[in-house]
Amino acid sequence: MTHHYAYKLLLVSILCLSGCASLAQSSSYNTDTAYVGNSLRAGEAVESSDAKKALGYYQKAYTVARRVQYTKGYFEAVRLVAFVLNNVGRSDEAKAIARQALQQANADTSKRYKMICHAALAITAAKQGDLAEAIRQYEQTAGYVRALGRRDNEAVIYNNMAAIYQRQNLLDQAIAYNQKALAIRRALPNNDREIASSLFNIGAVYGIREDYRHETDYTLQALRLLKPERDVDMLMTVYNNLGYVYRSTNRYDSSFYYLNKALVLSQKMGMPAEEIRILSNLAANHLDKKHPASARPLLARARAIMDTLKPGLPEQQSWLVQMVNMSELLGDYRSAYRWLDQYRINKDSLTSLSIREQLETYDQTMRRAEAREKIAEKQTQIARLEADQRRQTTWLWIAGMAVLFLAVGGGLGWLYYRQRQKTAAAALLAAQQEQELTAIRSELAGQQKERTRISKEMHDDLGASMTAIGLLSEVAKTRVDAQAVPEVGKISEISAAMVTSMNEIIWSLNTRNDSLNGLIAYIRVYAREFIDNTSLTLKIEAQESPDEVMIRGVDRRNVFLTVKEALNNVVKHAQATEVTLRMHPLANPIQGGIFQVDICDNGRGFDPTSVAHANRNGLTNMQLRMDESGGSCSVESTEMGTCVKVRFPY
Amino acid sequence: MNTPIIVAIVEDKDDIRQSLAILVNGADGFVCKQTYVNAEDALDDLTRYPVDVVLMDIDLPGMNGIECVRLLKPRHPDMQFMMCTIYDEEEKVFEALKAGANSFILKRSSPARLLDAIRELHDGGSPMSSSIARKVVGSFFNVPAPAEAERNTELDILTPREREILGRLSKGYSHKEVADELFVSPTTVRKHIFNIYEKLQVHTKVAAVNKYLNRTNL
Repeated sequence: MTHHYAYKLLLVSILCLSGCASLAQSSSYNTDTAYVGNSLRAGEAVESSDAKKALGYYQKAYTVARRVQYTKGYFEAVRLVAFVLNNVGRSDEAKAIARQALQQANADTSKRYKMICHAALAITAAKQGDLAEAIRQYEQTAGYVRALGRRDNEAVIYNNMAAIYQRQNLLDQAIAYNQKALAIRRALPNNDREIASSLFNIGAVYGIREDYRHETDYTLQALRLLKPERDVDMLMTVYNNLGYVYRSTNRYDSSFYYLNKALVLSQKMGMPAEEIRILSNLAANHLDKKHPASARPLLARARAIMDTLKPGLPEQQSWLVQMVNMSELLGDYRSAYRWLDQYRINKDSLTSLSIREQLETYDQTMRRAEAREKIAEKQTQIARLEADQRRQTTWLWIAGMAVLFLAVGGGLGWLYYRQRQKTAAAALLAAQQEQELTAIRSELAGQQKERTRISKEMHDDLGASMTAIGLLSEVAKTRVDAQAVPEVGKISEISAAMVTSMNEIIWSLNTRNDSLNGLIAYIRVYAREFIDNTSLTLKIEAQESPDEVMIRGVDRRNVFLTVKEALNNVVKHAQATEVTLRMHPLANPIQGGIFQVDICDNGRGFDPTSVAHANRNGLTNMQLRMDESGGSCSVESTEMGTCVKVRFPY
Repeated sequence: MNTPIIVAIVEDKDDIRQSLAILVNGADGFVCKQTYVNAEDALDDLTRYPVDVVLMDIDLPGMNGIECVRLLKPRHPDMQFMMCTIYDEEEKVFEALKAGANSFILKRSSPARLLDAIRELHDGGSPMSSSIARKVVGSFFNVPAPAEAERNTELDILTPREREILGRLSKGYSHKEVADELFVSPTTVRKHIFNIYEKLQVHTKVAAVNKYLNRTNL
């Protein structure tokens, strides 16, 4: 079956080249170049909101730069003028300007100028539908961009070429060029979003081929690189396409899952057109499963949005298709016929009219805006003349009043100024304090973020690799003679130990574990597991804290590692048969309390004052750790055994 | 010879998935013919061809393991899910337990332990760590429970024995310590834990319904 409501988006980027800087020669030339630079900047500032106004600025810059032969400004203006002219449907003019500029660029040595002209010609050709020409021009552009070393722009060009090949239905080339862009983007740092967009585009091309296996692979890869806080727009598109792909492969659970996610995002971002399409897609799923009753409310909701808003034809089409399907399923052929009719009418106008319509509206609004501007200019002229007259007659009177005001105002101003100075000083102080506070807060937040990031990265990459090593060595053990190759067993042991210690670090980094009772349980579990693997017997006497007590990660880690070291010493050096672990939170009635941990064995004991002993047993290390957390660690040892006492005030 | 336990594995990392499959297939009494690289594939295939036990990774590309369990469990209530994690990710594990999983294991566990765990789960037994126990306690006792009269099922109340076990586990007791103190076998403790998870799943649904109907304070 074909899904002719296909809502698939392609992410095409805009070639973005750095702005222009002015060159200084003579003074009048200098003002002209400054004017060109300012006009271009002013145009760029409004381009996204008002293309027509931007075009005005660019054209002024273009004319002036050409007149004074300010080469750099001229080519920048060519780039921007051509781009906007194309966007407002005046590609013929864009082409003429770019052609002319190319002649001049060919007489120049600058690669940049040639690149600008070819890029402008490429965009123009693509707009005019001369796709072969667009490819030729893009290839030229790519050559110059490569020579200039702008890898990011090179990727954008390949991306656009891929889009053109896709339009020509040359899907192999489209994939190849998307892959080229992907390779470049992978080599650039901090480029997840761009990489994701390339992956997504490749997936979309496979989708056209109905190679849904590849489309899913690439789209899921893209999904993994997107960040929910940064890429909401792309996420919505990705979710929607996944919903579409899974529907095409009759996997409705997954399809519903992703479409619902897309729906939430479209509502969150306030994009009603997308919402209509997603609702229609969801309805399509229900209709495929012969559940018209579930589809009906979704389509009604889409209808409600369409009634308040006037969506574009493509959105209406996606909705109409599902209305046809639903009516058919319900056996209401009269309605089905009616919706189908409307769909056909829309389709005709969509293919033949929509482009022309769009261009016409552009043209009309431009002309209307021009006329408005002319009238406004006249009005300001008249207003200026009238104002001049009025100013002359009132001038003397104003002068008299001004003297009076100055005298009174001066006196009041001085008083006010003194008052202002006082409040300003106070305000400044407050502002400084506020700023310091904010700085501290944001630093703390940054540290927290960094902690989370590090722990996540360790978690994802190192942990997975170590686990894989451990498992592979287990597999190896079953295949070789483990006795003959003891190293295999060793590898497995080491990797398990590494995962364990990483686990401990992650435990201490996770703020959700910041509780004293959690720490007590954690130590208990660890001690039980550790001692049960030895010949020793372990006795545990533990109390929980009656109150919820917070303990910072670094302190938790210090206490835990100190206890761990103490247990390790018992096993390694004490020659004991029994070890007792006591944990008591001693709450202070006024504030805080002390967490006491004693680790006592019945071993041979040692001289804790001897330096050699202290170093060997890591005692110094344990004391340093507890000092760092504002606690203590002391050792009492006799021939009857040793007690390590760890104290941590909270 | 008993019929073998049929196992499926959902895991995106090739090395880990293949190794686990080899280890499971290499052991007597276990068969693993279904492995999946993502939740979407698993969801589709396991709906049609259910197995006894599913080893489910939590962090999968696209749909995660928790969502997958949430969708699959109601379709095949007898299919058991064991969540596999690299670390003790108790938040995620707890979410999975509420969604319908009945067990969890660290991927680095030795093959013997892994196979024991699968067999145990198949026989209706589960492990529980102290941090998970703390969360289960919080979920049962901190959220206002439905009023006595409104309880139409015994399933969302824990028995005194289950409470005893839960309390000790949350303090860091091992399964063996709990068993010794309560004069039962560790297997019995694990059966109780399995039941606690079942009740947790029901309780989660009841709490959600109550929240929805805004009746928690009645």
